[in-house]
Amino acid sequence: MATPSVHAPDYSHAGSALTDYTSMMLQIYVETLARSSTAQILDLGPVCEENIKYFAQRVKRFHVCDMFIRLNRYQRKHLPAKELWEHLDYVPHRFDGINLWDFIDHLNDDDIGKLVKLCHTALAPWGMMMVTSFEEQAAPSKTLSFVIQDGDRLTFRLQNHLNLPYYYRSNRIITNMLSEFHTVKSFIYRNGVREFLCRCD
Amino acid sequence: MLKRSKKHEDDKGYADDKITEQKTRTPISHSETRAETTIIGENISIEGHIRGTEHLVIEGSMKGNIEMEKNDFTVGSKGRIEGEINAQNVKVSGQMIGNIKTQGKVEITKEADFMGEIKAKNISVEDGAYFKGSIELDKEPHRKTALAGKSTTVTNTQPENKPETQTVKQQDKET
Repeated sequence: MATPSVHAPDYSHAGSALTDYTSMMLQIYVETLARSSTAQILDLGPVCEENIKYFAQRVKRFHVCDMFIRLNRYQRKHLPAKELWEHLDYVPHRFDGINLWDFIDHLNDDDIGKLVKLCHTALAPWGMMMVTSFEEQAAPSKTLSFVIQDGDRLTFRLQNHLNLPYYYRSNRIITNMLSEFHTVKSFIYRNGVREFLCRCD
Repeated sequence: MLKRSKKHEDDKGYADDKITEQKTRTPISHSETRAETTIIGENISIEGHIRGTEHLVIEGSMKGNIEMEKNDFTVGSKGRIEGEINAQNVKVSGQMIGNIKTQGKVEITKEADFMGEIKAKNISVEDGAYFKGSIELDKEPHRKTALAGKSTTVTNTQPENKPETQTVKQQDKET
């Protein structure tokens, strides 16, 4: 069972069961990528200082393209979704790792298809992708960011500036949507967080 | 219009300053040497390179490179910069496209819209900032050593991590 942190963050805005936890996926992901002295990771946001410092200390170069804030802007202004994906204009095979976090929870099926294709193209062979998703009962009513603390512990921080929709999908549907990748491991935690570690074969 | 003022201790207050032609010289004391700050107002556009030995705040627009290795550079909340920055510390609250290289800290505030590469010793980024770019931080030597000495498989991790998870599917096919 997920153990509460010392500081006991307030998750009252989120699902009742949501507590911080130690991420097994993060441990495997970072240990694998940190073995290479040239590893490059792309993080799709939300922008988070703790995560930037964590990854930038462990890999050669850490890239951030906050797609949460961009999705928020596109939806608020009713801009065509097509243009949203132009922000992920990276050259093929650029990254060894992509942090998707729970971005798929905020996208419809069509957009997930586009995102998965773009990530597959941007990842180098054997590159890994980190995906999280909330169980329906744990889904926060407002958008949160996953914040990395010491010991690969993840806490959550409310992102008041984001107002994104939430889509629940079962484990089977998520793994089907990620079928271009090989699922290395997946975990489900009692706090309602699901993690999927995928690899580009 | 340019304004010169004392270096503020906390780097706040730039945005509140009205743009005037006033120039204020800061007396240099023996105990504490403070560089002056030049503010480029929001109605000013500059094309070209800037090199200097005092702190600089840009509230206007600028296309070109900034070279001030020993001093601090700020893109104010109304500032728009396209160019390369080389400064001691850099704070971005406005729009910036370009690369930043510092010996010190880069601060990206929530009002910022930044696109580019950052090379710094330290970084702070506020939630809500528009950010697209890459970050290369000076590595802490102890961190590198710790990682190098870490076990290569997750099965050797601390046992207290394990009871927290229920593995729904485990395929031991990782490399």
